[in-house]
Formats: sequence, C-alpha cells, structure tokens
Amino acid sequence: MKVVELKEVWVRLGNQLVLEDINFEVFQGDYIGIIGPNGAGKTTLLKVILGLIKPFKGKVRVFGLEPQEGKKFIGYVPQERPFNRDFPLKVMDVVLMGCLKDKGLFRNFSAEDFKRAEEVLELVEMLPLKDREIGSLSGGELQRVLIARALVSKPKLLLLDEPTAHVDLPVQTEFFDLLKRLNEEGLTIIMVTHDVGVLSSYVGKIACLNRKIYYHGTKEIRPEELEAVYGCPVDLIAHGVPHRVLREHH
Amino acid sequence: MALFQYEFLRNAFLAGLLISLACALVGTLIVMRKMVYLAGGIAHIAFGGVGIGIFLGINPVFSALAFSLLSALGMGLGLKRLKISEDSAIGVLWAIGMAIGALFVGLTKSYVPDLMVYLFGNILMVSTSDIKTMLILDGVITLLTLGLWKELLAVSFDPDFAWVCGVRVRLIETIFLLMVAASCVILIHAVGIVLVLALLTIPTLLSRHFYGGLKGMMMLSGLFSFGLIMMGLALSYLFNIPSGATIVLLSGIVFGFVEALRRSNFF
Repeated sequence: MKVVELKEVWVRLGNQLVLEDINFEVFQGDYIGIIGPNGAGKTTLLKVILGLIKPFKGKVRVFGLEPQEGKKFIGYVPQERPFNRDFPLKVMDVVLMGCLKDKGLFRNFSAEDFKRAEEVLELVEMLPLKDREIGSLSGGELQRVLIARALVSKPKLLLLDEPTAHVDLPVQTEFFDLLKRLNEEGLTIIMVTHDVGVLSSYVGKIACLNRKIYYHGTKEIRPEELEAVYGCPVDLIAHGVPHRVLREHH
Repeated sequence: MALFQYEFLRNAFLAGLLISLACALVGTLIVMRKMVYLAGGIAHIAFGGVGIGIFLGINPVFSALAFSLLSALGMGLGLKRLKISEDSAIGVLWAIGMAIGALFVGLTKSYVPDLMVYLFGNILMVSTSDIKTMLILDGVITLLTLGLWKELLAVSFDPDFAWVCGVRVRLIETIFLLMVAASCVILIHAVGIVLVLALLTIPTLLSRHFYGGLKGMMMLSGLFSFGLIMMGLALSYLFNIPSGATIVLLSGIVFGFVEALRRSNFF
C-alpha cells in the first residue's frame, strides 16, 4: 500500500526554488532515511507531506488522500528548536497535545487520552518525569517527549526531522532501537537528517535530497548521485558502525 | 465598609476585580508567548477609535472597542502574509492608530473631553455602564479561555504541530488577538492606553517567580494585579495623585524590588 506519493512536486519558498520535480513513493512498513546538506529542502519535504507547505505544481497523496485529510494518520517530530521552550507546560501537557486529533472545541481530554499518554511515556521511559516542566528537560529527554507526543495518536506514519540533532551518542543508540521496534510492529518511518553518520544499520532505505531527490527504493546510492547532492565526494562509512551504505567497491 | 457607600469607590473596586481577571487570563498568555509588543500595538491603535468616538459624539469606549477588535482581526488574518517583518508592521499600525485618533480629535468642533483619561486612565471615573461593558468582555474572555484552553496551549507552544493535529491555527490565533483587544479596552479604564502594558506584564512576571505552571501563574497574577490596583488606588486617593500613573509606578517599584531580592538570592 502506498503511504506517501509525490508526483512531479515543485516547491518555491519566497523567490527560491526549494524542491524541484520530486517523485517519491513510500510503502507500508518502509523505514527511509533522507540525507542531504543543510538547506537541501529536507524539512520542506516533510512539511509538504504534512500539508504545511503547498507545492505550486505537482500532486501529493498521503494514504491516498489529500495531505489535509491524510495528516491525521501522521505522527510528526519536528526539529527541537522552533517551538517556545519557555512556555510553562508539563511533560504530560505536551504529550496530550498529540490527542487533539479527534477533539472538538470545548471538549476536554478523556481518561482514555491520559491512559494512552502514560503508555507512550512509559514506552520512551519518561513516565517518571511526567510532571516536570518542559523547559527543565535535557535535549535527549525533550526529544523523547516529542516522540511520545507523536506516537500518542497511534499514527501509521512517523515523520522525524533531525531527530538526533541534540542527543548524545548513547541516547541515540537507544533511540534507534526504539524506532526499529516500532518499525517492526508495522509503523512506516521517514527520517530526515543532515548527518550521514546517524544512518546506522537500522534504516531500511536511503534517499538523497538536494532540491532534487535521488531514491531507488533501496539502501544503495550511487557515488555520483551523492556527489551531485553534496557537491563533493562523500565518505558514507560511519565510524563505529559496521555497515556500509555504499555498495562494495571492487 | 462605609467607603462603599460612594458609588465611584464601589465601581473602582469592581473595575479592579474585572481588570485583574483580564490580566490573569490574557496577560499571562501574552507574556509567556512573547507577544507584549503586539498587545501594545493593539492597545495604542484603540486610540484611533477613541478619536473617532469623540468626533462622532458616541461613547469613545465603544468605538475604541470596535477599532481594536477590527485591528486584531486584521492582524490575525493579514500579519503572517505580509512580506515585511511582523514587528515593523505592528510599529506602523501602532503609529497610524494614534495618528487617526489625534486627527479626529483635532477635527472635532464641539467640546472635547479630557484625553488624559483615555491615555493614562482614571479608575475613579469608571461609570456603572463601563462596569457593565467590562463585565460582558470579561465574560466572553473567560468563556473562550475555558472552552479553547487546549487549543490555545497547543497554538502557543507549537503551531505547526497543532496544525498537524487538525487545530485551526489561524482561527485560534485570531480569536486570541480578539481576546487581547478586549482586554486592552478593559484595562484602559484603569491605566489608560499608554500604560496598559504595565498591567499586562508585571503581575505575570512577578507570579513567574513563585509558580511554574500556567494555571497557577494565572491565579497568582490575577491576585497580584488586584493587589497592585487597590494599593495604587489607595495611594493616589491619599496623596491626591493620578491613579493610573500611581498603579503603574507602584507595580514598577514592586517589580524592581522583587528582582533585586532575587538577584541577591534572597529567595
């Protein structure tokens, strides 16, 4: 089943062409890592899938629906920085925001929402900190809260934007273990990063993005494509990870 | 309670209560969302409404309300679409609003009431009909805060995520700006257009030191604003000095004192 389908998508932000002729298909159970340099349009691509940014040309379908409709199946973990960390909220308040999906105005969260929020906090091992203020959390703790917030609505597709940007290495390993487990349970995952090193052996498929997308539905990327994306030859073999992203050279 | 036999004192007391409620609910959100400058803009634009009201011979409070609600509506719908930065746009509207007010006051041929009341407030001149207006506005603000609580939080904290969750972000933002406009009109009675920002910020900044959660901060900043208004009122009555300025200066002194104590690690 096609989870995401982008056909000849072009996006302009201001006067700048950010995405050019993007064709991209994601299937149920995929675990895709999207790499590319800073400013390559990776966040924009996620926002197009979410319907936050509208392309000026091309077709976007999420679970066969317009993004406006399809977004209700999506869990979204944005980059850490954009939101207001000084805002006085507790961990629990933030996670409950993920339950807003099928709430009408003037209706409060149900006991079921609270139960579900506690379950996902347990899953990311943050339940003991549920009453802590969000501003007092470390980068890694905050990241786990944001993942809990994205998972609380039981999404079928998880979009992660630079999920390891503010997280230490040991926490990263734990984090990737969790994602792998969720993926094995059937969750489709698209993860964006500018750091090729984090593409450990977990990710199933890799796409390269720099305004144009290079994706073959596999984990392999041709060296010349990588050069086209980064503008210079790139060594894709991450330190300490016994896995090659590039095909073996002879 | 002999003092309450005077209608103007009873009204001042009620006005203090109603103003504190607006400060608690809306002021806290303004400060925590870092929208103080925008609130200042909406308050000053209201002066355009005051001028038009005087020119047309209608109650300036109503025209100020209409004017600031309209400007809030315009900001909510238009500000994000502009190609210039939001704070420049607010600065421009701020000045234009005041200029419209000054122009219409200048054009008025008949008797022009004392503008100082609108610019710097006088809580002792609040009439019973003003109290009724404030009561209605406070009622609407309270209803919206309770009804849209989780949406207001979501939009304040992370609008992108709120949108993904199906919250109509622009609608909620516009409603919040309308709440800000209504609060500004409520506050004009006590401290006037120019001094509105003091009561929208200082009580919240004080309460932030004592309590971390949003609901607690709201209650505490409501108490602080009521205390400051009443003490300022008493001082202005005792020394026969302007009440708006006294309330604001008293708030400023308390704020400076608390900050100094914190700097010296007193608490």
